[in-house]
Amino acid sequence: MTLDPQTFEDIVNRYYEPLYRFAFSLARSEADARDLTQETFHELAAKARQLREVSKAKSWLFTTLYRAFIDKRRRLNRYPEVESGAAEHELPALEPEAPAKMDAAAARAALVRLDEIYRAPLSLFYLEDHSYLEIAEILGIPIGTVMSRLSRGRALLRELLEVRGPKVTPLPVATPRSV
Amino acid sequence: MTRDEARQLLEAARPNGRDDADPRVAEALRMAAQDPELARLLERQRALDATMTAGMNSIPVPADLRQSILAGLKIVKPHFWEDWRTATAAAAAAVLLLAGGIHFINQTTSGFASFRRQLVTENWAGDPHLDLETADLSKIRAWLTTNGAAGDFALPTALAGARLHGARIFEYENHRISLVCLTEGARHLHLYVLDQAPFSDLPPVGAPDFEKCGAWKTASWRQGNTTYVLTGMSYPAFVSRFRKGGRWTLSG
Repeated sequence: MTLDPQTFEDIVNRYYEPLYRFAFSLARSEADARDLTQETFHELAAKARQLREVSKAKSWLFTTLYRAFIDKRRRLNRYPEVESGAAEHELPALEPEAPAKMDAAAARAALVRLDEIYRAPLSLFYLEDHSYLEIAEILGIPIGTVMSRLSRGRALLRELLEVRGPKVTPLPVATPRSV
Repeated sequence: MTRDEARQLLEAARPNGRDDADPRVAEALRMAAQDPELARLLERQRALDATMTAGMNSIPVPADLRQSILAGLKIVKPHFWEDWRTATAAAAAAVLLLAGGIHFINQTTSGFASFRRQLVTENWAGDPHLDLETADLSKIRAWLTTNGAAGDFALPTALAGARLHGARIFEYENHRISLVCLTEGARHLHLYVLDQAPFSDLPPVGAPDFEKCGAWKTASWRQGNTTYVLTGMSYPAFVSRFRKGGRWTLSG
């Protein structure tokens, strides 16, 4: 199939925000999340004919973005330059004056501290109504693995949020390398 | 259904009650209504899910991202040869272009294009790749100038937030080329600077020339007698950062 400009723009409008948020949760950097999101739509524009139906756009976009993240991480591991705290300043700023917002900020801070094997499925789980099956397809892992990682990931999140409560702040990230 | 099965189902259910209509989840919910321990578990689970859903959906999205995506992209149309009306004309044009094409290839496989390819691919393969390691731009400039390379270059304003790591000097036919190494987030960027570059096919002034060299994307441009080659970025990111108000802001 081909995408006419209006359909393409509709897809951008519908998915650029959740895609960016998924990218940010993976890369933990605004610049890298931005790159990943833009590159994903660039791929869509270039390979629109791979998309059999517009209804498959969501799954195609998230899968493509995740693969791009994995590819870049693999490539950049040859040139590790980022120190553990380097991405820290790019995390969204906390806003301590508003309790509700503070909870959301604490949730984000807790999520970025988790290892990527939990972070990726959890991000999809909490974004865009992704089912277990969709998460398995996007990440390329069995559905049973998705369920066990989600279960373990939620337990870790609960531990981080309940032990630290709303005082959780974006500490240095768990691993020294990111995209 | 046992209490343990109900607990597992409640733990696995998706946020915002999206699985509540599932008969087994519904049964687990009914059990939770009668069982204080399951009720507490469910309450904790829902509180966590609500917090996390709010957290994920409140990650701030750059205000200009949508425009950058739309501005930097063109949808690829079906190949022109799939249209029979253009196929005949294309075939005829191909014959005419063949002879001229050979001449064109001979012209473009030497000069700046091949120099850039060699410089970028060989440099990225080098490890360690810096002769001077410092985050101080004035020290980098002084070191480059002292060693006969271009030190008086304009660092693009789009790279003002990048972190400097140091520099290196390359020799090419008795000419010295400066390399400035930067990172931005986790991106690793190299900016090459050439003064009085000895090539006839230099990139244009005021607009970038995009070329992929091996695995690396490059953008090259010229300002006065200075030629710049930036690599390590993605093209959409380059366009969004270096093009403002319909104009390229390449150097300084």
